[in-house]
Amino acid sequence: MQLIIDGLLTGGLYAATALGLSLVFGTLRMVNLAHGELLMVGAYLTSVLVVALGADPLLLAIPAAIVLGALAYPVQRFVLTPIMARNADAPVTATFGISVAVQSVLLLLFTSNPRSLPAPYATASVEVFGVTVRVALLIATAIGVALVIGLHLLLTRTGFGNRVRAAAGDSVAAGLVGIDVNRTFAMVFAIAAAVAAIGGSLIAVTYSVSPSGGTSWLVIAFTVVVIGGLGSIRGTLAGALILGVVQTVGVAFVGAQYRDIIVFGLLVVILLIRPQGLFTKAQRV
Amino acid sequence: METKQHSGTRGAAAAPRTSLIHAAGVTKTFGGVKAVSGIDLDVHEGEVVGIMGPNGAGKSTFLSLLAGAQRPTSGELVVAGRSMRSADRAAMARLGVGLAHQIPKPFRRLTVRENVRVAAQTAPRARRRDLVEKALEMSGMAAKADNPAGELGLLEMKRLELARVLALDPKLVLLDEVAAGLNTRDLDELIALVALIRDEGRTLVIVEHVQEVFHQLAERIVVLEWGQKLTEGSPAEVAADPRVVEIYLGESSAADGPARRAPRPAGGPARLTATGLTAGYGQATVLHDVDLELHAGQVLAVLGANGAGKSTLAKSLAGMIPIRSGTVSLDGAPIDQLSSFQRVRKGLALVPEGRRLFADLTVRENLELGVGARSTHQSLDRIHELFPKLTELSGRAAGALSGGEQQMVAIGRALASEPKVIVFDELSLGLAPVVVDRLLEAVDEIAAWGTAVVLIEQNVHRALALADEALVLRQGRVVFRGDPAAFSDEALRLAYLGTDL
Repeated sequence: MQLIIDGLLTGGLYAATALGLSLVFGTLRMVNLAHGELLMVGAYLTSVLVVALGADPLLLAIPAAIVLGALAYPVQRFVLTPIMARNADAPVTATFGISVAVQSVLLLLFTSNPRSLPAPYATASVEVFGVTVRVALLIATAIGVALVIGLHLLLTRTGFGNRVRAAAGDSVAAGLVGIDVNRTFAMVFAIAAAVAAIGGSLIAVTYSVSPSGGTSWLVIAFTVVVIGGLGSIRGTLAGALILGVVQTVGVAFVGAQYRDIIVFGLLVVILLIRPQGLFTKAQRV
Repeated sequence: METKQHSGTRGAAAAPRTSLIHAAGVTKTFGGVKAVSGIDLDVHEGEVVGIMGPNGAGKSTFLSLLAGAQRPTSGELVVAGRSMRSADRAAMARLGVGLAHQIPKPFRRLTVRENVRVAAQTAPRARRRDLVEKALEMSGMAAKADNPAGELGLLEMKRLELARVLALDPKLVLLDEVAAGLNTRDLDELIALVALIRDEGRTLVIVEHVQEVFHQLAERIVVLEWGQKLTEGSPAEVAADPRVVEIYLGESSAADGPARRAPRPAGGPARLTATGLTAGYGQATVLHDVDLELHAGQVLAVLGANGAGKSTLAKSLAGMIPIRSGTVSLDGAPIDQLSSFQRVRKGLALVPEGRRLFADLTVRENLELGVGARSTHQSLDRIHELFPKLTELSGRAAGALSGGEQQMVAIGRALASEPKVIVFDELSLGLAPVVVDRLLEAVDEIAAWGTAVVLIEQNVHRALALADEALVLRQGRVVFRGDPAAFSDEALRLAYLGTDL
């Protein structure tokens, strides 16, 4: 029971960290290999704000999210979109380049030492249903679930969401009804980055971040997105919870040194048996 | 015309010919759809047979069955003495059956000669070199044999495609729309090359939209519609067959067709103007030097056979493809450099071919997407008045609707931006006549609102009945522009099935 609850809560954190990747893949059909760095930069931005202002890190994650979103918008609009227009596959390589570059900049600015965000609740525990859980994970799960619901509503209940879904479904037809597809895509990328900033800050509160730490979080996010069905927002939550539970239970049985093997193993198994994800219908052609 | 005589004499001289293709009740289904249904056909050695029919009639599918690229679902099909129940393309290539594709896809980094050599793999080793050189010679590509295939022009690509087929020393040559995208001069050269292949005594089966090819080469034409054989005969017989005319021109002739509407006044300056509009894809120039002018509240019907450039005109007006030269202006201001969403915001909307609705979104959401910079939600009221049915369908996913309902949504979505000019690309394609009637009524109403309408339509007589001006395209050029009333059945038949114009 303890393991399941721990797993679910870890999954909640995973959901918050994987959402941005899922959103970008679902709408732009682009695998953003710099997603891990978005998480890390978000965490470092929050950290800088905490040092400067001294307020609660999760409160300061909000301005950090806005700043990261504002930084990400022009990257999509003026770098990735023109690249995509020339060659549909090239942006993936470009995001890898961005990932390496951002890692180097973080290394220069913040050294290679891991850093975490101090908060009174970071190490605290409470007892829920007779099970001891970390408060930080509880908060992360609450925020993760809230972000999933929020993004889902944004995409399905608003005019902006309709434009995003239209542009994702048929970008040519979207242009024919007057939608500026390039700006819409840049906006989606900015939102994904903002969500990643919050996810990254949650990582820093719960565990720690380092300039090169993005890569392993990218793998986790990628696994979550594959389990949940590529590009599905609600599937991301389900995928995150499943991965959290499988991983926590697995580690308890075979040892923490196999943590990454469990993640990768699950990724490969899912890709083999159900490449469209567990929670989406097979892709229509 | 000399070419035709030639084939005539040769036909007369031949003794009872050997059968190369024997098809009896050949059917090919994809999922539940019968792409080819119960076709009977016999082709003898040395014959040149053309296959024509509208889009989706099953022409290319039938050709791919003959080539062994696909296997028939049922029926008897014997090609070059081999039952096609078990044959594949490589086996057919060894038996001397070669297929030339509409869009040549050579290995771009290999030279022309290397490409032909690859195609000759199935030939006996000793003859290979000879076959390659002969194919290069015959196709007129010998001079370019050492150039990379990726650098060739369109006509040369087509020549190379034919050379690749010739390298098999084929008994039976299957041509799938090889004339597509060529301009008149290049077309003549290609026809001359195909005539040369025929004169070597090879049997040809030609699928083509460009009627010119049939008129110069085919002895016999098979007309397909909805996967079935509609008729078969000499080019002249087929062109005179009322059922064939009906496929291409719509069900009623001008005489007993819908009454022509009273002309609308051509008030004010031109809304939409195009001058010298030239456009195409890749190396193919599909549309040449098109001029048009359209006033508020008027309907311009754009007619022409398949491949004449109608949809290319629609796409270049709407900004879906860049134009090569010329201008497009809306209310006097140039729009030809704008992207499609900017043109929508200026007031030019397109109802695209195949509708292209956002299938996962509801009807209401699809319509609301069109509401934007130019209009408010009040524009939706007018759309619901035009198509009351859309009100009840409001919450349904657009992908779940019938074709006619989808077309209503597509029209509504385009109207939601309150355009000054609306372009309909193949409005009635694939829809039942009663639905088409309703949609064309709506077009009439839309024009009455003062919207300028460009109507690209298969159903020629109905489009003409609605139009204030007609524009007929043939091989990408305007061959008629003016009063629809002045446009006779005869002229139409020529434009669509035409010998000369």
